[in-house]
Amino acid sequence: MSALTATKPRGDRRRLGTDRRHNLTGWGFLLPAAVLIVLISFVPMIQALILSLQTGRGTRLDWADPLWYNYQRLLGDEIFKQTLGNTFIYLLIQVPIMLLIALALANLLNSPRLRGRAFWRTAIFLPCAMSLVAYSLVFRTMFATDGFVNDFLGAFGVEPVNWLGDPTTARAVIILGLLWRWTGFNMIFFLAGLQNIDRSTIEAARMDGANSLQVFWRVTVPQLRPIILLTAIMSTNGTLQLFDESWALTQGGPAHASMTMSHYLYEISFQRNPNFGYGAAVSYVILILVAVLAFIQLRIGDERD
Amino acid sequence: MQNNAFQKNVINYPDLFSEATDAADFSEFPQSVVDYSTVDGVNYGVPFDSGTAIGAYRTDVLAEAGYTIDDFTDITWDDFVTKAKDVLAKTGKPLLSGQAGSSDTIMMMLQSAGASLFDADGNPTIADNKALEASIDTYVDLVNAGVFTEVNSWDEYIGTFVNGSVAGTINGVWISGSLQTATDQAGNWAVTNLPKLDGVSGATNFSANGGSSWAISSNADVDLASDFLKSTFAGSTELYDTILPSSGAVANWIPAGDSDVYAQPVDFFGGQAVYADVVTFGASVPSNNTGVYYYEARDAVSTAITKIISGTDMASALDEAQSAVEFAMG
Repeated sequence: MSALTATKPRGDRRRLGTDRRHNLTGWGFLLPAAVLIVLISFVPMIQALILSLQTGRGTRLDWADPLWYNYQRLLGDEIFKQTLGNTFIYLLIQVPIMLLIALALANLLNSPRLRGRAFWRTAIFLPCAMSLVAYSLVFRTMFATDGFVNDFLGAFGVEPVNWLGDPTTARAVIILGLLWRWTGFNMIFFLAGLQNIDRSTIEAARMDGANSLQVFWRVTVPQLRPIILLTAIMSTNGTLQLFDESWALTQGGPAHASMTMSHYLYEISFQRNPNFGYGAAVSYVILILVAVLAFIQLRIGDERD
Repeated sequence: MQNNAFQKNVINYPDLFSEATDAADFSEFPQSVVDYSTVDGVNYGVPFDSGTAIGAYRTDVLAEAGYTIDDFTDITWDDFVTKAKDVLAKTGKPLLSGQAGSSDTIMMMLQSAGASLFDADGNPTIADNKALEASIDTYVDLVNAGVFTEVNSWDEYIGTFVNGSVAGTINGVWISGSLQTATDQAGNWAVTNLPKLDGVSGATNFSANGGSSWAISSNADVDLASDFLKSTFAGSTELYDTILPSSGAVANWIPAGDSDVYAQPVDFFGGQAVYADVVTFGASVPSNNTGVYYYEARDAVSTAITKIISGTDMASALDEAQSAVEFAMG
């Protein structure tokens, strides 16, 4: 008895020692990456938070009075409200359309009967390997008043449209650009997700007499739920931080009608009299919006419990 | 450093600049240009690249409509609109173009009358600004009459005259670099001064857009740097004679205009000695107060113009612009 009780704890102790050693090795491998993430990501985030509580031009910053002055100021900023509205227009129109198209394309390309699948996959994915600025410039040229699109429409007798000069069409061009650039990117995620769906579930549904639309909505989509959630969060995050298209395609014009929040943030910090404190406050509002929307999406999307 | 941003940068980052008082004889530069880099009476910059505004027109197109370049010299904007409409009717070509939502043209009109968007104390004067209202009226007239084509980007703007669909332009003299890329139009261009605003006190035919000045940083060997600038950009015709043909950089330094290189006829401009002319124009440009919040005010005015052209009443659009700038300054 005594021998047993004496050996058991010793064995436990030894096992704990190995566990701890494994643990430490694990942390050792994690440490360099963790330190880097803290240094180049979390530290600047905290610095930005502190900055957002300061006010002043250029390098001459003082604590704001009251501390939340910059945030209070945002409420009265007409341009900020407009850019917030613009960003949500992009979000609400572009993200659902993009995810639906990506889902449909992924489903098509997953069909074993389709010829040249590798080619189509690459072709649709390729736009997101393009430089953001390069594609924005191409879109700007295409939608110029004497550009390709007007030439093409002109062949059918359509009067030239000032695409980038009108608030509605300028936003539409940005949305088109985003669709072109990002649909393929999301499609790849859906394609990967589709590989994990057991074909027997689909075959079973077919046997039960479901048509392909029913199979898609009732069998495929529910099983893709985690991937849809992932892409929705990524797209929301990306759209809220949208900068390049607003900057390179329309310069935010006409009259701030297509400017995004991040573009305005850039203007505040670098183009106008540098007000870094106020700029940091705008960036924190973007952060909070991303966090809140991601949280809501997680709550709606995750029905495991 | 870009002239329009000079005051803003000196005031926001005072630690980065050294006084440039000893780096030049500032009386040898146009007062309006020296003023860009003068803050509280202290010189912080030596003017270099000229932003003197020119009116450049296609003489062949003017001739087709029965005009010469002299008909567009020393005129007012009212004359200009009348004549430009005639040119448009007879040749189908507008005389001007520019980027929609850019206020470059308006800002040149304003400065031609020595007016600005700020008063001497730096308070915005966008609402109830007679010179600004006259400038916007003129601009809207130009656009509505079809003699000013609005495009959406800088490359489209350059394209309008390079591909010959527009027969002239008004901008800083640096635009001549872009004009001369249209080699097929060589010999058909001439340069003159700007139309002046009607009924605005202090209106002239001269203005500027852009241009840049040298600054001496605070960590520099200030004496050495001052001496360098004084014996080069503020004292060497030889330097300006070398860089003019090779890079088209036009001097602000008035004595540079007296040299032979500046007096040489330029074939592209039909044998006109444009560079000497431009240095002379530069001396007559009225000073204006860019102010620290120049870019905020310019953006607000751009937004106002976009709204006015799409039908908003001018007074309310400018009131909005005024409060936008006041907000940005708050």
